[in-house]
Amino acid sequence: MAILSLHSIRSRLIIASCLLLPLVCGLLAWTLDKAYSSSLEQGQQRQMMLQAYALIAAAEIDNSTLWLPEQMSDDRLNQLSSDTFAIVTNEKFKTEGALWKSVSASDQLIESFWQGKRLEAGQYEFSNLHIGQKDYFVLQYSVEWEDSLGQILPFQFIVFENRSASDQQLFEYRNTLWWWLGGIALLLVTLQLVILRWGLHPIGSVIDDLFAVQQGEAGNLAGRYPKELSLMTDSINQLIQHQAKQRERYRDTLANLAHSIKNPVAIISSTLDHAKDEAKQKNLPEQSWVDEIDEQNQRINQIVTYQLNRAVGGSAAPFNKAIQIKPVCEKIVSALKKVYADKSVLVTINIEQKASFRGEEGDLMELLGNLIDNAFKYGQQKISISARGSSSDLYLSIEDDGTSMTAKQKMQLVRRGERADTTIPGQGIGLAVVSDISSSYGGELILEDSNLGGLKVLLSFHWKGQVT
Amino acid sequence: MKLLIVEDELKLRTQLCQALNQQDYKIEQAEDGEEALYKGLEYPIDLAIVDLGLPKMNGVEVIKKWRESGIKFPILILTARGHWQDKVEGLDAGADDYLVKPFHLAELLARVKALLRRFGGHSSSKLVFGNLTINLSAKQVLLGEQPIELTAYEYNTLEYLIHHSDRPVSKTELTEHLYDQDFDRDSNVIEVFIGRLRKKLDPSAELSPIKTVRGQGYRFELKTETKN
Repeated sequence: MAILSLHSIRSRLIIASCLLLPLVCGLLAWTLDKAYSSSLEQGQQRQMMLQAYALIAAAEIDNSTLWLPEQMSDDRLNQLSSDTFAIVTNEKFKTEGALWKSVSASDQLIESFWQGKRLEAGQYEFSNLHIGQKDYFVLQYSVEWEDSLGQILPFQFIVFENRSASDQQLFEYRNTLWWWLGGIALLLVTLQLVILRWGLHPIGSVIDDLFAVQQGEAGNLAGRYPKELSLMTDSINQLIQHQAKQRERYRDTLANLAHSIKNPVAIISSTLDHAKDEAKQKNLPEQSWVDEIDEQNQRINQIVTYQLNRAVGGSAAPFNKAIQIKPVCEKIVSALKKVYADKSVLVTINIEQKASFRGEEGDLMELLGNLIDNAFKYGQQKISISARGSSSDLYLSIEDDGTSMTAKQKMQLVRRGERADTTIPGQGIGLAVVSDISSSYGGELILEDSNLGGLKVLLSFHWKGQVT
Repeated sequence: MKLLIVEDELKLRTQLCQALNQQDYKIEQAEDGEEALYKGLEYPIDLAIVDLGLPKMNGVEVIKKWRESGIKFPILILTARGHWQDKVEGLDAGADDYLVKPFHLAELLARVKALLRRFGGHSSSKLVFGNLTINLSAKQVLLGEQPIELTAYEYNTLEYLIHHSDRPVSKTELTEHLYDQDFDRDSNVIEVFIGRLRKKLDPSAELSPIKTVRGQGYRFELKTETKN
């Protein structure tokens, strides 16, 4: 089971629902329980009040003495060990005991638990009392009667009722209530999860579509999204489109700039070559200015080439497509095998299918092209290219069987214009460009000795901001 | 050998033509993609030098159309930007080598010679046929240790026959590839050159390097012994 994270909207909503639902159910149960138990007590009180009234109605005063029939209309008062019993007391209860006891109260030691509380005439009190192992409701009603002599006689009519029946009823109610509430809560949780899934589905679609854009499977977010998200997805599409257009414009500008600068530089270079050849053919002395101009021309070319190649370098933009390394690498190797056909180099390619570069295809070609071209140029017969990685990282290695290098030579290689081997044509900017482009993507370039005998170039990248 | 130079920059194209002419190559020129496509398809070209940034039709498209039409001559691309995307696209379209602008003419000439040699089926520029040694790079022919004096046309005829030694080469083909367009095709000058070549290369008539194939033309008969 996946751990719920507070960084996820879905997890937040699930956690909030799981906390809120028991709270609501608990409060609801408490309210319903209170209402029911209160209603139960009120019913009990009304019933006991009626019993008290029945006792009062049956009571008579004869010579200042209270008289009540032995058998009462309520049978429960006439049975021994009944759950209901009643007594009548006056102010002498503590010394003389009760004036009257129902049959059902004859086996009760009233004086041991009843304190003989006195109420004002016409007042009543409903309370609870613990007798032995049992709980009782108690209703006490106070009356004052005048006898034939005009004497005022106070009496307390007290009815006791065992709570067990009422408690059992409450227990059964609570039992039913909790079962129903549990079931409703379970249903609500299930419904909430379904609603959550349905409600968050468009966000999931946006994430999937963004992932497809990053993987290069889609050019933009093409799904149908709800209006709450469409503003955001439209903005993302505009951003992707703007980014692509800007790159295209940038590429075209660079191409035009390169064409505009390189052609005059090529003409100067060619003119100087002609001048040198002519001087050689006519046995004229070498002109130092020709060499000077040639040197400066080469310098201009080197700077322009370096800056133009470097300018290709993009960056780890959020909507960079993931470009598979293998097909690009195979394309470059196939092209270079034509160029270096005379060398008959054996190229071993060991690239994982999922190894990909998150950036501009032009930048990847610049990286691989420069490194593989160097391997062809300086290697003898063997080149090994390997790459592994996932959607979030890439490890690339290109090695050859050329001559090994000292640590100082390796340091020089990544500097613009520095070349370890000046016997082979080149401008010495290849590795410097590779270093610059990889840096712009946060990558790392390491030069090592290869087991094949020559140089091993290692490139590693760790992409951030990947949609998962 | 007839070379097609496709470059829109007039000054650079003129310089390239001059430099290659000096090396005894016959030149055809094109200043845009459409002209290049036409000349590559219709003219007897042995190698094309194509700038990628051309008006009307870009260099990559021209190369693709040539290859689709079955054109097999080697192609050297020139690119101003020097980006690998352009180079790979050009090579993938059917080019065989690339050169980034600006370049030294010496480097261009070396690439042209290497491509012609490779397409002639030779991996080395020094070809040894027994007593006869031909250095394609220096355009020099030695019989034993002695250099043989050949005129430019004689050397070009010999080189063309060596590069196409797998089949007989007709007089018409030799005329088309070794001479300018306005050359008199009915003349028997080819026969004269072949006769002179045979005498210079095989004075003792022991090697018989060039054989006449009746009704088809001439074929270079010697096989390379060693390659350096």
